[in-house]
Amino acid sequence: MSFKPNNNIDFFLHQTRIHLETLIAGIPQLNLQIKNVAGDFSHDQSDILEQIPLTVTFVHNKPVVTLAFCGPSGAGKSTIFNLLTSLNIPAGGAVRPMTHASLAVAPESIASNMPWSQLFPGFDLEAFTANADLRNPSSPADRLFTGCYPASNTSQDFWPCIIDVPDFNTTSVSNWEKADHMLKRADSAIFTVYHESYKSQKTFSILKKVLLLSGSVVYLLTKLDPDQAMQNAREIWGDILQSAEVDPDFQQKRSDGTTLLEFLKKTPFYFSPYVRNPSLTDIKPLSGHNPSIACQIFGQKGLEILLSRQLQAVASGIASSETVCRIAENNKKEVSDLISRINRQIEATAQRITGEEFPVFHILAMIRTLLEENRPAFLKRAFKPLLMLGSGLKSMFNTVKNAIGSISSQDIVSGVLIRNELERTRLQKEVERLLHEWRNTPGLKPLSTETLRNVSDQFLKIELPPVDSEWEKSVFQSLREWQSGNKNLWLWFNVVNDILVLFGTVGFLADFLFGGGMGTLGIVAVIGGSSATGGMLLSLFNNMGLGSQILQAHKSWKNLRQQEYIKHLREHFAGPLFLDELNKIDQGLDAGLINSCTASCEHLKEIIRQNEQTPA
Amino acid sequence: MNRHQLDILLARASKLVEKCELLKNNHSGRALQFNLRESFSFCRNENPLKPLVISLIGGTGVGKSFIFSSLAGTPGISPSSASVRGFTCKPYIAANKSDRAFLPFSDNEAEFLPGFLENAILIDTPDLDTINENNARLAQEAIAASDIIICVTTPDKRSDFSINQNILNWASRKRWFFVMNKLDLVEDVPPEILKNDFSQRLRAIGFSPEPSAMFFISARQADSTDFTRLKNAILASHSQNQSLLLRKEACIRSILYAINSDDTVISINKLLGELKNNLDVLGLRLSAATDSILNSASVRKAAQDALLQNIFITALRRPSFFLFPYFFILSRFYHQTSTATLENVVMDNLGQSPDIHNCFTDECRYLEDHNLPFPGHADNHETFIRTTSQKVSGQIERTAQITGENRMVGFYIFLGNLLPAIVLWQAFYRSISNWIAGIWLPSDFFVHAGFIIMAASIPGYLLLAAALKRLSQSLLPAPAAQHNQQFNHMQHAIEALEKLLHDASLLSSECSAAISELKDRLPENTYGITQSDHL
Repeated sequence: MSFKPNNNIDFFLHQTRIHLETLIAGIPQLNLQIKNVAGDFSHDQSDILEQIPLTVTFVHNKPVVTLAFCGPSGAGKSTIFNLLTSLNIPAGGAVRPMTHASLAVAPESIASNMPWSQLFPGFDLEAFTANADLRNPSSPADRLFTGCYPASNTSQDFWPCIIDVPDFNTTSVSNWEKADHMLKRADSAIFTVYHESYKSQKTFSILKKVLLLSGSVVYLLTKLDPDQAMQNAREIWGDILQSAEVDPDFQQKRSDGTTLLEFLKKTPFYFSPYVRNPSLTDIKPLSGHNPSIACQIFGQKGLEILLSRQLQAVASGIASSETVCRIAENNKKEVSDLISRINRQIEATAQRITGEEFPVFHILAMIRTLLEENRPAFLKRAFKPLLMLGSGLKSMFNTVKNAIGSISSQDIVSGVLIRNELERTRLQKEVERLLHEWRNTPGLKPLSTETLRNVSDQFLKIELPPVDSEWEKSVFQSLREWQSGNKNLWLWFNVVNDILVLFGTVGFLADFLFGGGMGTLGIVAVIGGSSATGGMLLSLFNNMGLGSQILQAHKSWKNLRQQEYIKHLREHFAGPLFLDELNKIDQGLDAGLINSCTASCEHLKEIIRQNEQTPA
Repeated sequence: MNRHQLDILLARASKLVEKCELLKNNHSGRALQFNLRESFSFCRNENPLKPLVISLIGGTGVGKSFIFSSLAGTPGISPSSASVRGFTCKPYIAANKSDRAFLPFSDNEAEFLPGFLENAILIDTPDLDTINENNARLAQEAIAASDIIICVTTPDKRSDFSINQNILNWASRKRWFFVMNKLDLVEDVPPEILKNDFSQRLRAIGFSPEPSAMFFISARQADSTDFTRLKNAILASHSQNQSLLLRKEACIRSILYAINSDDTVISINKLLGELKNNLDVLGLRLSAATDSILNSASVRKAAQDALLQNIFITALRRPSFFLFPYFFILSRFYHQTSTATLENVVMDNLGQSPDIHNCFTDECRYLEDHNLPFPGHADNHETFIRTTSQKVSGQIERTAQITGENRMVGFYIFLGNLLPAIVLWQAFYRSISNWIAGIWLPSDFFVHAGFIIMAASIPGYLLLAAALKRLSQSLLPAPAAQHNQQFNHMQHAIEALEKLLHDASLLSSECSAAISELKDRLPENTYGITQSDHL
């Protein structure tokens, strides 16, 4: 150990605190968004951060150190826990597994002053009342029962908070998570194994985890043959070290630079024979240099364990945070790319829907309004008989048509209905095209037929986006400006307008008489006629110098309509299907947050490096 | 149970594999196909000369090697250690030289010992849950090659997850003996509690624990009753005939396992349910869309015109007497084109309807959702439009035919003829009575009479025309309602899945029947127990 604990721990905690807080706040948020993108997220080890205490818990000027018993079912964890604490929690082989929840006990003398929630952040704490608490298999993973024990073995250096942990290898799979949860929190581990299971896959994988995370470890081998306990223990310890030597995972480094194998070699090894009524004296060290198990456990340097454990937890936290940040960054890029791809598709679609239905009739209506406003009196008189005839015919036509309940002439004249119909038909086709594209867009979540159909049906029922009144206002303004500068040309407009009114009336009347009402042919005739009229008017406008205004109006119309459709498709179609969710994920994978987490990881790594360099 | 019956079951299973081809892109279908193929390869490899293979399996330190040596009667023949675990690094196989070729192990991979069982091989396997991956693999291979498995555990290891998983994997495909060793090492718990607890654990994974197949022993008490029972069970003579039966049973069990494992059949059943729902939804949507089109103003108008014209055409075939001139003139104007026009109108309207098009697009999409084969484009859309428009026009023609031949029409024709007939009768009466009186009426009388008769037929014609128009309006046919058959790709898929499930269930029950037939001939105290429920 290369730290000077008493001086360093406070400084270390102070240095790391702000960065850890950044990670504790940021990483779960990133995790959540990653889960939204990828579903099951297997790199999620960030809860180790949530369980890092940010301060050392001191009671009566002594730190509290958490010591956890962990090991496979049947190793005697609860039995030795009882021996150390003089408690009597359920132990023995009548039921397997016996313990279904973690129990943490503090020395009786400090029990009333114990800040449990500070010591175990992220746990659901509950006072231990009866043994039945531990036997309940439905205990949640973060449940921790707390209690006290009569402290006969008190440590000089720290207050030992001893924890009994459920098994990690039985058919009660829910206990695995409970064991894992406590393993990530405990400062020191007493790895308890019986000789028949020390070499099973699960035991070995948990041993690696314990060696990687804990501040200190004691290896305890139980249930040996009483006649050859010492010899068997020696052979088994040799076998464990030999197996670890050939396992590449044991070459992983702890934050102080030692490999797991080196750390394991230094781990104090204790063993106990199988006896009917075991006591602590039955547990013996393999090496004569080691003290009794109780002295070994309670004689450790508390702050040294805490600092070492803090470094391990921070290092593991950094590793998992870096993975999360990297994945988040990649996901962010993928999601952004996907959103811009979808946006491009929507823009192209809006362009196709908008088409060329430039509302020339709107402009005609505006020009007529302007004409009415600025009509010379002599023209009124000259065309009065003509207009009277026209308006008479027109009103007759309208009366007949209204009587047979056909489409109102106003709609036809304005062209709005026809444009709406055309746009709606195109919209229907384009929606199908988009659905097809989206079903085949890689990266998008699978869109079931039912969802697609429901959303598209809902979408098509919505009113089409209305024409923005701003457009009309600006075009009207530009026409008015032109009119005030071209008084003479305006006169010709008046003449053309009046003639057109007459032609239009006669046209409608003829259509009605020959076609028997405004049937399909009638509508087509109106479209054709109006387009021709529109085209003629456009060229007329052009000749009269109004071309730029009209072209400008046309261009702005197309742009505006396109924007309206982009908005419409985004808000009401792509949004409910997936775009809202994607945008939310994109916002959740905040670049600032990723950067600050990455920066915090770098800072923490630097702090650990500096601590390694600090001479003992 | 003879070879012939087994062949029939295998042939059925092979047909089932072919039927799974439809589901080759679907996860469940592929899994079922794969499992069935695996079971075939297992059944095919079985050689009638192969002796019975019995394996001892278990976790680290449960005493497999000790039991093996005890059964062999030579202590330490499969070496074990009181301390170090994973001592058995390769399978120890007691087999006659001629029998060794039947095992999947080379001389390097296994330690061969002289066989001591009659018609049987005994294998001591390495630990199943060891950190040594090669040992775990060899243990797995030994299990796969075995007919009977002796699963050894200890009181402390009885709840071990990884061993439990291995038992579960093979539970229904093998015969099992369960041994709990080291019972003497647990002093604080009465043996009865341990035995009950162990039985309950076995029950939880689908075994019905027979006392004759369970042994509670202690290596230190090699002369205990249970140890003797175990020895008797393993060392009992296994006749070649019974070994063959056991292997047949294993083959049938493997087919049953293939059908029941991984919940494939349940998933396919669920898929079938979903498809049926989808089909119903599509049928309703198509009906609604078609109804709205057939009831639209343009289609109704075309239908009415067609109906009226067709009624006239039918009515024209009846004797019309005084109305003949009208009928003759009308027949010049009315012809079958009205039905063709109606057909075109319906086709246009149906073809332009996005709702109907979407129904057929969605049929493909639903199939795609479930990874079932689907055509690249909705080819049955056009067929539907054509058949529906033909159906509508056909219906119109039929209705017109029936209406035209209706007695009411005859009655209207009679009414229409009544007035001109009276006028004719009057003219005839006058001309005859005058002729009898010797007066020859002037020729202008006959000309006028002819005109008056013609004029008298006008109200009759108008009456008939009005009556037929009224009839045509009230008789517009309702569109056909059954639309589920239109989605024939989906129908095909549903039928194929139903057939597949039916065959699977039939095969499964036949296999179960065959197994229960075999059960009595393979006693559990000599051949072990097996999973009774397929979990």
